This record gives sequence, C-alpha cells and structure tokens, in this order.
Amino acid sequence: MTTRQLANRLFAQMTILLVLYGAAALFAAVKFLPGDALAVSLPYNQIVGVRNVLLDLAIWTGLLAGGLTLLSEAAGSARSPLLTWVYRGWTALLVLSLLAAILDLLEGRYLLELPVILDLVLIVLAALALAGTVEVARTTTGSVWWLGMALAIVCVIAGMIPPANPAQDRVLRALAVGAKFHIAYAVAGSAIAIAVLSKLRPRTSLALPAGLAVAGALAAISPLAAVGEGSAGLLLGLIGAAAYPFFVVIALRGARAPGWITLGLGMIAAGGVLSTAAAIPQVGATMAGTGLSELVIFLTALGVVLLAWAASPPSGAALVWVAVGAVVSGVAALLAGIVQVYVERVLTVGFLDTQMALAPLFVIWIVGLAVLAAGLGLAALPGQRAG
Amino acid sequence: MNGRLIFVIVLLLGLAAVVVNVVAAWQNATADPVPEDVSAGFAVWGTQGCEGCHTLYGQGGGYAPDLTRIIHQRGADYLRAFMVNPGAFHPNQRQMPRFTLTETEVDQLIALLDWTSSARFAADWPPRPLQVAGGGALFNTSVAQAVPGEDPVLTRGRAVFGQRCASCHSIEPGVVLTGPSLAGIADRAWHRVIGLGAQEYIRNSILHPSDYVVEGFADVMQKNFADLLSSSDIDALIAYLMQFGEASS
Repeated sequence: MTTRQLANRLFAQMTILLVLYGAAALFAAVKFLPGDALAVSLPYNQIVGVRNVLLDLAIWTGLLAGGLTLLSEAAGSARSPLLTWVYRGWTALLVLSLLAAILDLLEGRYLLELPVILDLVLIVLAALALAGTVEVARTTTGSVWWLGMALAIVCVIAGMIPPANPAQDRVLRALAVGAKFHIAYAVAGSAIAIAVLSKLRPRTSLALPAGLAVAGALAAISPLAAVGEGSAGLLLGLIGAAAYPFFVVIALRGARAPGWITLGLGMIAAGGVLSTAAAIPQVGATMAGTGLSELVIFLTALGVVLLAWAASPPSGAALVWVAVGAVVSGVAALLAGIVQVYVERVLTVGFLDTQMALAPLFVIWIVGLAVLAAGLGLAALPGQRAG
Repeated sequence: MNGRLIFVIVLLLGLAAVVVNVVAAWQNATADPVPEDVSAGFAVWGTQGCEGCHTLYGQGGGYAPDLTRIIHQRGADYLRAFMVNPGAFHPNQRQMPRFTLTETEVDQLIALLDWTSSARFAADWPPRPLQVAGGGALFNTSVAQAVPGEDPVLTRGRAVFGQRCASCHSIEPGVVLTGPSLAGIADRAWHRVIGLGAQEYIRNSILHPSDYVVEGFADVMQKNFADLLSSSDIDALIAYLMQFGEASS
C-alpha cells in the first residue's frame, strides 16, 4: 500500500476508536449521577480503563496517520512494504487491545492501563513506523512530528517501569503520562497543525511546538509537588499558563485556520493553562485529584486528536457537533471542578456529599459528552471525509 | 540559526527541566526503605484497579475519595470491615463493588494505607483534611445556619455532629447507617453501663469507641476523635446529643 492509502486507513481506524471512546466516556460519566444501577456489576474503574485505552490508542493512531500524510506530501505517496507491515501489526494491536478491554485484562494503573505485553508491541510498531518515516524528518514540520513521536515512545517505556510505592508511581507518571500528553503528543500534533497552516500561510514558525514543549514541561512536573518536588513556583506557573494561549494565538494569527485546528489548539491551550497553573504549589495541591485534573487530560488528549484529524478532516457537520459537545462538556466539567475544589477542598465538605451536590453540573457534562459522541459517530459515517 | 535547531534546543531545555525534577523526586521517593507488605499492598492496589476510582496523593480516578490519610480518619478495623463488605456502608451514595480480597491482601492494603499517611514526602499533602462524607465546614458554627434563639453550644454541637458523625450515625429512629441510630441516646445512655452517667458514657464512646460496642455492630468507629475534636467540641457534641431522649424517638 502507498503511504497515502495507509494514512487513510489509519485515520479510519482512529475514527472508529473515537466512536468507541465517545460511548465509553458517556457510560463512565453517567456513573457520576446518583443511583447507578451498574455500580457493582460494571464498576467505574473497569469502564474508565476502557475509555482511557481507547483514547490513547486513538491519539497514537491519529498521530501516525498524520505523520504518514506529512510523508506522502513531502516525498510523494510511494509504496512501503515496511509501513504496510507496521499497519497490519497496528491493526492486530488494536484488536488485541479491544479484546483485553472486553475481557477485563487491562492493568489497574490509571491512564496506563494497556497491558505490558501490548505496550511492548506498541513500542516496537511505533519504532518501526518511525524508521519507515525517517525521510519525513528532513522537512521542518516532519522533524518536529518525528521528535514528538520518538519522545512518546520513550514515555511509554517509562510507564512500563514497575513502581514499588505510590511515590515512585507518581514520579514515573510525570514521564509516562505528563510528558507524553503535554510534550510528546502536543508537539507531534502541533507539527501536523503547522503543516496544514503553512499551506495557508507559508511562513508558519515553529514557535507553537517550541512553546508547547516548554509549557508542557511545566505541566508535566506540576503533579510532582505532592512528593516534595516539582513545585515550579508562582512565577513559572503563571508564565507557563500564559504561554499556552500566547503561542496558540501566534500560530493562528493571520491564517484562516480550519475549524479542527482552531478547536484542537484551543483545547490544548485550555488544558495547558489548567495544568501549568497547577505548577503553582498552592493551586496544584488544592486541585490534585479533583475533576480539574481529569479535565486537563481530556482537553489535551482530545485537542491532539483534533490536530491529527486536521490532516484529513471529516465534514463540517461533524465538526460542529464535536465542537459543541467538547465546549459544553468542557465548560460543565470545569465548573464542576471549580465547585468541587471550593466545596471539598476549601470548605472541607466530604467527598461523597460534594459529588451529590454536583449532580446538576454532571447532567450538563453528560449532555455535552452525548453531543460529542454524536459528532464522533457522524464523522465515522461513510462519505463524511472532507479532505 | 534556523528554526529547526532553535526548536530542538527549546525542546531539550523543556525535557531537561522534566528530567531534573523527576530525578530529584525519584531520590525523594526512594530515600526511605519501603516495607515488604507495603509493596505487596501497592501491587494489590494496582491489580484490583483501586486507582481507577480512588486517589492517593491526589493521583488517580477521582471517582471515589482520596485515601492518603484514610487510616487516620477511619482506623484499620473500619477499613477492614469496609473492604470485606462495602455495600453495608454509605447507603444511598456512590457504592464500591465488593472485591474478592483475601485476608492477607486486606492486611497488605491496610499496610499500604498506613504507610501513605505517614510517608515523609506526604507531610504537606493534602493542604487541608479531606473528608469522605459529612458536612465539613459548611456546618461549622461560623457558617452553619443557627436556629433562632438556639444555645450557641447546641449550634456548635450540631455542626460537629454534621461534620464528624452524620455519615455513620442517624438521629432518626430506626435509621441505621454504619453505626446505630442515636435517636433516644440521651435516655439509653443512662442504662448502657452501670456506674456511668449518660454524658460520661457518650464522652467515653467518642474517645474510646471500642470500650462498649453496641451489640450487633462491629467495632469499626474511628479511634482518633481525641485528636480531631477539641474538648469544647466534644462538650458541645454531648450537649447536642443529650437533646435526643426517648421522647424524641
């Protein structure tokens, strides 16, 4: 198969993963409402593990597809036996991961649920994909994508190191989750975004991925404050929080950016502002473990997916649904997180009572996720590909 | 200097910041030896997927309470009973499924939770106490809605009850949560232990809950109220509970 064909197939796989993710995210969110009939038979930790794995694999698949698109544009859409085998292996990986999720074989580490054996397969396949796309690194945007993906592989390796206690887990997580989402994924996704933007405005700078890398570093280390390290301080935290919107505005300035890119960068910026604000010790300690920490990953991850999609976007109708769903669910989750921080962390009301009080906001959040899931489903329908 | 080189330098600077912090945090996290049962408990924590719902040091699913200091709040006996039969606790609120844990695994999880609460690096987290359930400061005297004309001591007692007791004890007749209903406690307390007056019995039950466990209930009440409540809080709580005589039930 040619690199263009492989990219299209990977985009199709990413879309399917996103549809499944949308359903799992909705299912998990409904459990936040009182009176969950499946609380015991299908507990939250199982469904949320499935949700996290689907989202992570969707990001990987989308970024690989985006990279192959960059390659086919830089070097022409040539046949590649190596990449074809990687694609077949990747398909097998996705099937095995889904089976592991269905059979409840996922691991118990939050956001690192993929079984180690499948992590190994992912690393090998991703490394082979990078070997097969090394030519793309000769272009400016291609090199940024390539470095981002290489870093993502390193982060997966870090996640495979078994921690002996929760403190070590937290440290490894700064690499395996924080650096992966906030630096590796964000940089690789932004490379695809600036490749698309540079068609509209030839002199698109690398300020966006560079800014995301620095601000993402702050975001990655912010959770370390609870184990006595990583307190970046007030000034650095504020600078990092301000850096996200600054570099996004610079990237979008003067270009009529496609909606997918604007929405994707907006979500990454929103997640980045929250996560780097958490690098301020007092803020980070107060919001750790609340809905705001969860929201950071949701915004960043979905933002990266949208950037990857920008290389081969679905129709505008799907974008509208996805955008409305993302904004409504994001704002509701933000409000719920803020209220939770105030009621639970400042007023020290009990966790369970706070969650009960948040039910109205959870309803809006669920409605937003339903719209988002509908948008993702619409994007998966035949004939929805715009590019 | 071309843009690509600048990007690589900036990326390396960002990564260097991460690595420096990670190395320092790793040294901090590995400075003290970790007992074997704590490591075993952490393995159980991982295999059972506890982190999918709960958080430790604010890290995890966020669907269920943070457990960093739960051992101090509830005590090992309560937690042991909870892990064996979680459905008996917190009725009408978010339910934990029943895991098929062996006694050894429960002990290992208790060892883990004991260790997390006292680990050196956790000294500053959480910045304020996190409660599983209960009214918290919403019910403190400063913000609680005082009943017009009510004695301030009773208002304070009501606040303390809402904050510390209401998640396990009802004041409604026949409504049993984790512990017995306290409706009618003012009269019952006179007859519970020969030689102890009602107020002394209630005080003793708050400070030493294992001394006189009510028949039919497990000894799972947390044991650290002497640390959590001031003497004036305890006096106010007793005054509040002494309102509930048999007539009230």
